[in-house]
Amino acid sequence: MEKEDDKSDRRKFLKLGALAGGVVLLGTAIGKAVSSGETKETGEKVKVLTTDGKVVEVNSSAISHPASNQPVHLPVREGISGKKFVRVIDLARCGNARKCIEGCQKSHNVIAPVEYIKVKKMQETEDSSPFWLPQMCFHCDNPPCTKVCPVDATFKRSDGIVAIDSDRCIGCRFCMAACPYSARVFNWGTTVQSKYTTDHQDTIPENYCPTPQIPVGTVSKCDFCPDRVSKGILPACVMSCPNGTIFHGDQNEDTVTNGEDTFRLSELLKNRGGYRLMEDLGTEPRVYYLPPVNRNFPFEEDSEKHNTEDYKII
Amino acid sequence: MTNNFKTNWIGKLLIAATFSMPICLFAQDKKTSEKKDATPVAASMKLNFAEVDSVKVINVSLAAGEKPLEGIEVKFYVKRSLSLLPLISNGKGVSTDEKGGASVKFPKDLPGDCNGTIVVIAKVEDDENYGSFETKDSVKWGTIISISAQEEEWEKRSMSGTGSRVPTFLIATAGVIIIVVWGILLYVIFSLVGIKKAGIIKKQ
Amino acid sequence: MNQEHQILTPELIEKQSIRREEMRADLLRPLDKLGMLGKLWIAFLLIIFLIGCYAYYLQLKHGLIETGLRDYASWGLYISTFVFLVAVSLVGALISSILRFTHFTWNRPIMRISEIVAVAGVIWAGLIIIIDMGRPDRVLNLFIHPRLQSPILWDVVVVSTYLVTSVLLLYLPLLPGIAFLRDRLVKIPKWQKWMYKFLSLGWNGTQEQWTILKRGIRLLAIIIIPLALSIHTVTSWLFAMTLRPGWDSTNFGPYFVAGAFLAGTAGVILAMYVFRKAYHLEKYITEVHFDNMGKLLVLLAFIYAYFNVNEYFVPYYKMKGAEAAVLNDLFSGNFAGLYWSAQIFGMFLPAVFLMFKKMRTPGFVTLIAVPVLIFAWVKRFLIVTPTLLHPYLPIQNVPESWKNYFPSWVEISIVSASFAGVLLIITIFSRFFPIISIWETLENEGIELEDLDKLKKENV
Repeated sequence: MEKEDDKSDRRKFLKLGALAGGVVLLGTAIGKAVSSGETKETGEKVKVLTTDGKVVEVNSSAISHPASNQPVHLPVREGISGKKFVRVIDLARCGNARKCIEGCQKSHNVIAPVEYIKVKKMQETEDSSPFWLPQMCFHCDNPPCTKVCPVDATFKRSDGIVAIDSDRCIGCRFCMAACPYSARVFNWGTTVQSKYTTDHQDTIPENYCPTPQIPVGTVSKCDFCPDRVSKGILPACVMSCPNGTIFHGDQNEDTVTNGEDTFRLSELLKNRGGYRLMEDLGTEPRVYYLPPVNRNFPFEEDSEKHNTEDYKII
Repeated sequence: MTNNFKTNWIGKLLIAATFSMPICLFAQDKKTSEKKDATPVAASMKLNFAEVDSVKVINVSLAAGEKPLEGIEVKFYVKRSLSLLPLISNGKGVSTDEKGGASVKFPKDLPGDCNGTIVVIAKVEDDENYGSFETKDSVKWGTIISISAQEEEWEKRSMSGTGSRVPTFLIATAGVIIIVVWGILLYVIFSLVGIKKAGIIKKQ
Repeated sequence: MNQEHQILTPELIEKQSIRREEMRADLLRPLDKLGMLGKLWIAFLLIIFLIGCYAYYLQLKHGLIETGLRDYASWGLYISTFVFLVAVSLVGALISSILRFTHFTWNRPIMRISEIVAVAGVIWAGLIIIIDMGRPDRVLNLFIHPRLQSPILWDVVVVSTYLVTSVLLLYLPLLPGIAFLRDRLVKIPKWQKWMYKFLSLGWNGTQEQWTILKRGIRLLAIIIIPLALSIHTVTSWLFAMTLRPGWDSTNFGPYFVAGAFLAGTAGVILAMYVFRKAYHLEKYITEVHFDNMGKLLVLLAFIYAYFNVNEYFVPYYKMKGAEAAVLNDLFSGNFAGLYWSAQIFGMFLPAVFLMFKKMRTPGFVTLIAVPVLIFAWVKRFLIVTPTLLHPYLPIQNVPESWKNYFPSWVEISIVSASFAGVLLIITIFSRFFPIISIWETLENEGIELEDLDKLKKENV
């Protein structure tokens, strides 16, 4: 008798377990099928006027706000509608302060030797003067990196930004091999550096780019700080530079600014002879450089070596 | 009689003091509030948009009440999403003339928002007499950039596009090759079933 | 193809049957008990393999930081080995299929050896590319979110197709052999007997079965040739589709394919020699075979040399900016020793030596094939790493170790384990299946097994 009771209890429990499991599976399947994965629908409802004069309420994610200051909740893969982000870097101003690197690292929660923006000493010819070149991902219009990604983990958005989906990246590093500007970095593993990222994930200041910390085994790079910009705040590197070297802006507004000075993009490029790095590769970068002429201060060699320590495995 | 005169005098003084204090204070307040517009009437700015000989001109007139303000430097900006774009380079401003007016040419090719609207801001910064003040207004003088054309361009099929935007020739070529090759492979694999069958029949 | 059918008189049938039985006996012997040497060999391979498994466990635990790879040299030993294994696996198509359509018959006894080398190579190529991934747990993303514009996806498709085709090309000609083992071997474990029964698909040597078999083999042999060419061309596009100096070459497709045939041939020569000695197959893998393989090696080496000249002399003439840096590193810099050894000892000298008939003895041909194979791997490494260490923009402000590439012990053990894995597959295969295709060899001698079977049944 006891045995039978046990059996029936067990059966009941198993049945319940199976039912629960089935419901969970079904729910997940339905949930997955319903949510396309990328679309982030907000809870906000907005009243809009339809073309035939009716007032309806729609989800705010369905509205696009071209060239306005409103933060936009658009699907991440499509980008902020109406924007075409662009940068101009004035090489006459760069003095190798490396504050842009620091600011970017702080705002993306990484520490040395991970650098999304690098400052390099360049010299065009033997007889030319050397100069400092800050360089980050150029978010090219003909990106060699997005072409080779096998899983669509890196992609070009409509607002010009080349973004990375850290949840999809399989870590094949083909995009790193394809980028001729060596703009991308890889999270090689559970090191002291990546632990820093995990530990400080929740202590980041309010206006930081909420780009998730780079998961282990995936690729990362400069992302033009779209979340800061959509809140009206300039990217971290732009604000950190003491010399105002980096100008950030929107090609559709024909304006770039470094926080203090604002210029018309077209005029700046025309009057100051703007150019792009390795134009002949055909990548069509979205970052322009202004030649290092009439410099603010003479070139000075770096006084110290940076990033001398390699990763430390935990 | 002297006493009366004295008390009268002291009393009058006291009364005068008592009354003048609030008046002083009141006058003081008025003075501090009018330090911004030191004259009894506040300074005002008004923007006005005109087109002269197909040249677009922005005019601003400064006045303190009735009196036009002359010689005050006004800077003109266009509002952008991250900053203010000066309409005159080198951070210069335009001094108001004797009529209190200042004007600046508006460039023909400045992009506006999706309707071509531009928000113009005229600012006076740290004037010694009047301090800082500004005014803004919008006008439909901006060029309209076709966002839909840009998005169409972005959505085109290309090698650098997403997986859903594969160039047609690539799908076609890859598809044909895969279908043909795997067709042959599957045919061979299924023919193995034929071998098994032939063996079974024979055994019987 | 085959010699003219001789008139099948009873005496001839008798003679041919004896010949067949002789061959079967010879080829059954290796499937017997494992000798001491065999046991040591497998133990040795297993040890290397297990060390590699532990190394991979560490890599899974800590991430790719366990390797010597860093942001600049982001591809290294794993990718080089991947390209090498894909290269070696082309030999299956060469010996088994391309030569099948020629009038050559000498290649018959070594067709199965080539196929198993190819299958083992391509299996481990697929495994090592997964080992190189930063997130192997997301490998399914390749199938859920594929991007057809990516050369990696083309590589996945082509490599898996080639794997299936090679396995089929190994299996189909093996069917009569498996059936024979099923019928003949008695003192084997139950599971082995069951395996033969299952795999033999009821093979009885009937006319119908032979027809299906031969048609299948012919079809496979036809499609595997363009498949083999595309597998290595697409692999070369992993490099050629980028803008990097040293990789931005239109020559890569044929350059890689030519090198692949050379490397694979060297690999098969090695396998031939080992099997000949270990299984006493001197009657079947004869001196003639080594002579011919030696000649083939010369031909392939010269073709490869032609593509090497195009690949290195042309940019050397121009010394274009970024490419100059890579070339200088290869010709006279850090990689000079490896580069010139690979070119001289891995390609040039072998070709020169093997031009002389006196040099084409089994021992000597094998001796020469060894450096060809080793330097084939070195050459792939020299294609991958120097380019990555010379990007367009200078490498500055990084730890010293990032400016070079030295593989860690984890990488070296995993790569060794992959080679051990290839050898294990080949060894284990040869212990369960005859390493020489009996019927195809007999066909070579004018004996159509299907006729034999048919007549035998009629006579019985």
